[in-house]
Amino acid sequence: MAMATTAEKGFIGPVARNIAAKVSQAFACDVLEVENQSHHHAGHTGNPTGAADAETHFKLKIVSSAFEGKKLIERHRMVNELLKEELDTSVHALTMDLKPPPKH
Amino acid sequence: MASPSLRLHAAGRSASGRVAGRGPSLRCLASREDGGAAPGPEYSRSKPLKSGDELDNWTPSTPGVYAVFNEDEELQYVGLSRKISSSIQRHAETVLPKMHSAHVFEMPGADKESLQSVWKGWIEAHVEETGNIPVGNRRGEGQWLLKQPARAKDEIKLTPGKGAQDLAVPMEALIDSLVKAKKVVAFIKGTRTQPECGFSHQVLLLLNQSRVDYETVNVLDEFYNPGLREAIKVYSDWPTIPQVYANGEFIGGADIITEMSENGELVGALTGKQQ
Repeated sequence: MAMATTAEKGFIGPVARNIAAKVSQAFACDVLEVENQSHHHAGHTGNPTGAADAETHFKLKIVSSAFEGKKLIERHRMVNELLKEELDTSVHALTMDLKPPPKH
Repeated sequence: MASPSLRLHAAGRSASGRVAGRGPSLRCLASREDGGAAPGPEYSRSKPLKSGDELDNWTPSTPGVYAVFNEDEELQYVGLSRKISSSIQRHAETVLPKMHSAHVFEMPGADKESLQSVWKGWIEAHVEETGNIPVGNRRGEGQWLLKQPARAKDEIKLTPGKGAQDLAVPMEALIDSLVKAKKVVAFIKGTRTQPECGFSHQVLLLLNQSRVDYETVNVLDEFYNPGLREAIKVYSDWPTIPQVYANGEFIGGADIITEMSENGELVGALTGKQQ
């Protein structure tokens, strides 16, 4: 299997690293991108202080065969379940783009 | 500054072949009500009480009655408005070529009856003079009609607002009966007109775009919906808000609604019809 493409965007702190680690452990990822979007939400609910190192809003892009044959809502539930602890505590919003590998 | 959008239209018009240098052609012949108790003015195109070319003055933002004339000084339409400036601007979006000048009669604080009585007086004066109702006011003449923007539907409140301690039925049961009773329900932060979160805003935009009728519930309204913010997450086993339900089923949050909209699956999912 080819190496997974991984990418990190924005400020990457312990929360982002933890998310990336959990996802790559749980799913065989062709693509894994974690983007910290907290700065877009500075001053809003969830990131009221707008601190530069805030880790409240993330975008997660995953391409993994684990999503093959799964409905959108099921894919989201798989990740929600995996990141339950983070979503219950520090992470205020998680935007997800979850796809199976393209078929050739 | 008044009426930037009309100026834009007017500029566009002169750019499309009109004689250069004439500039925006809608000039204002404004009249103003003195005092307030005084009855409406006689309708008159020959003797405006006040006239001026200053564009900033030609569309007062007060309630009042207005008459619009074309280039040949023919009366096109008599309208009444809660805010003359925005009515004139909205006319300009559709019938600018027929708009050359306007009589504007400001009636600050006027009620509907006073507006209607002045409006009626102007129409009658024109009928008396020409034997005809102004062309834009005739039945079946749709061009000058300004549709009232539909009033935003009120959000649904799950309790009469007595507070959590009086809640006889568990919140989850209230959620359950609501999503089963209504075709489409969006649980959002804030309201339709004032969403308080970007993701809720996004979902509202897409639902509006889908043209499917839907209800909203504000999860931040602790007075009427005590504990809803947490209860809705348990109900659907979904950690985030907004949440959209259709025909009793949880459809998804902002990401899923967005992706469905892009794939053309949203309307089908909301109406329960396979596409």
